[in-house]
Amino acid sequence: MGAFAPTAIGIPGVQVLREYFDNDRRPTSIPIKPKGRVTMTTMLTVIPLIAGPFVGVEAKDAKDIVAAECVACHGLDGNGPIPTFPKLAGIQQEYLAKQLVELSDGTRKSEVMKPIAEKYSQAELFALATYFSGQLRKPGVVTNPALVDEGRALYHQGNKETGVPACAGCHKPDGTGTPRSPMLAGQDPAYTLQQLRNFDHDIRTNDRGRLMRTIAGRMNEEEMRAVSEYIAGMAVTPAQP
Amino acid sequence: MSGESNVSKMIAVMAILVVGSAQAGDEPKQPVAPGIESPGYIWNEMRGEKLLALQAKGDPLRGEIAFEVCRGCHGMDALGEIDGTYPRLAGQHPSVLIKQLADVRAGIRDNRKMYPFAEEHVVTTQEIADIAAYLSALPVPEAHGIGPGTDPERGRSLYERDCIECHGPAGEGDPTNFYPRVAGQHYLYLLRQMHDIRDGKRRNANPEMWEVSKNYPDEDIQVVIDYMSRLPSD
Repeated sequence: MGAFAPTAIGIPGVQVLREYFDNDRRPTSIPIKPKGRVTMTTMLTVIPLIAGPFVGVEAKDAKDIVAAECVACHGLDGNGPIPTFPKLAGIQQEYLAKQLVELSDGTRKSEVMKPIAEKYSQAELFALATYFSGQLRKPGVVTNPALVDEGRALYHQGNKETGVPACAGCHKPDGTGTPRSPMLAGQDPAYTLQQLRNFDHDIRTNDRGRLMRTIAGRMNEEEMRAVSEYIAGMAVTPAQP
Repeated sequence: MSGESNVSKMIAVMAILVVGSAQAGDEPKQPVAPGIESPGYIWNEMRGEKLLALQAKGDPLRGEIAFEVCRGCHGMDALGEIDGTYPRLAGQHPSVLIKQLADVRAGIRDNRKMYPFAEEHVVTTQEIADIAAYLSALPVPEAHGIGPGTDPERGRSLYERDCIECHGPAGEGDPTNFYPRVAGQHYLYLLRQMHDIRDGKRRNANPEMWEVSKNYPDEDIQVVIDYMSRLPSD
C-alpha cells in the first residue's frame, strides 16, 4: 500500500484511476483537477485490491509468462488467434486482475484457466493484468452480419419491455468500458455469447451484485447472439488504452 | 440413531437443493414493506437507510462513478426517455432522489425491474447520497416530452388550485419537504405517476396528494399534467 502513497494525492475520476494503476503508462505527473477528491472509503476499497500484491513484479516479467503460458490461446498481444477465446488486449487492468485472481481461487469457474492461474502469485497475476491491459486491441470479426442491426439497437437502447438496460450505460457507447465494466468493443462473438449464457444459467457467478446474471436472465437467445455480433463489429479505438 | 442421522442428512441435502434451485437464474427480489394501503402509514417517516443517506455528505464525483449502473435505463446524461418509461433524474432535488431510491430499496415504492440495479450489493448507502449530489447538479435541457396542449387554460386553473402549493409556481418543487421538481419532466412519465398515485399503486405516495387526486377523472389528470409538462425546464 505504501508504494503509491494514495492519500497524498487526489483522484478526480475513473480515467485518472485507470492511468494511475496502469503501471507502465502512468504519467510522471498525474493531471489532477483541484476540486476532485476521492475519500478514504473509496481508497480502502480500491487500493488493497489493486496495489497490495503488486509491489515487486513488473510487466516485463509478465511478458515472459505470457510467452510461455498464455500465447497459444490469447496471443502474445492479447488479441487471441483462436475464435471462442477472449481477447484480453486493452481490457481495464482492475477488471483483468479481478478475473485472474478469481479464476485462480475458483470464484470464477473454469477448468481450463484454474490450473494455469493458480500456478502464479497474486503479484504475477496483477502484472499479467497490467501487461494485457496495455496491449492494443485489434478489430473483431463479425460472424453473422445479419444480426448486427438488432444487436446495435439492444446495445444502445436496451429492451424496455423486459427491463434489459442498454449495454452502453455501463460499457460506454463506444464499448471501451470502465474499471467495473470491461471493454467489449471487438470481442470475439462466440466468447461474448458464451459468457451471456453462463451468466443466464448461473454458471458464471462472479459478477458484481448479480448485475450480469440479472441482465442475461432477461435476455433471450436471439438478443444474446445479436448483441455479441454487434460488439464484435464495434470500432476499436486506436488510442486504447 | 444412524437412521435419525440419515434422515437429518437427507433433510439437509433437500434444503440445500431447494435453496440452490430457488437461486438459479433468480434476480434479487424486491421486498414489500407497508405503504399507503396499510393503516398507520406515515409518509416519509424519518428513519432507516434514508435518514443515513440524507445525513451523509454526497460527493458528485463518486456519484458519477456509482451512477454508471443507472445509465443503461436513465440515459448517459440522466435525461430519461420521452416515452415515459424512465424518468429524467437530472436536476432533481437531492432529498427527493434519496427518498425515492431509499423507498425502492425498502420496498415502499414498487419497481421490480429497477430493484436489482439499485439494491445494496450494487449501490451503497453512501453512494445514494453521492448519486443524488451528482444528479442534482446536472443540466436540465429544455427539450423533453410535453403533452398535446388540449386545454391549457383548464390545466393551469387545476394546477393553481391543487398542485401549486407543493410543487411551486414554476414546478420547481420543494427540497426541504421532499416535493419533487416536476418542470422539465417527461409528460408521459408524469401522467403515469399521477394515475398510479390516484389508483393507490404508488404506495409511497403523499396521502394529501392521494386525497386530492381521488377527485381527478382521467381527463383532468391529462390536462393538468399537460400543463405541468409545459412549465419551462429551468
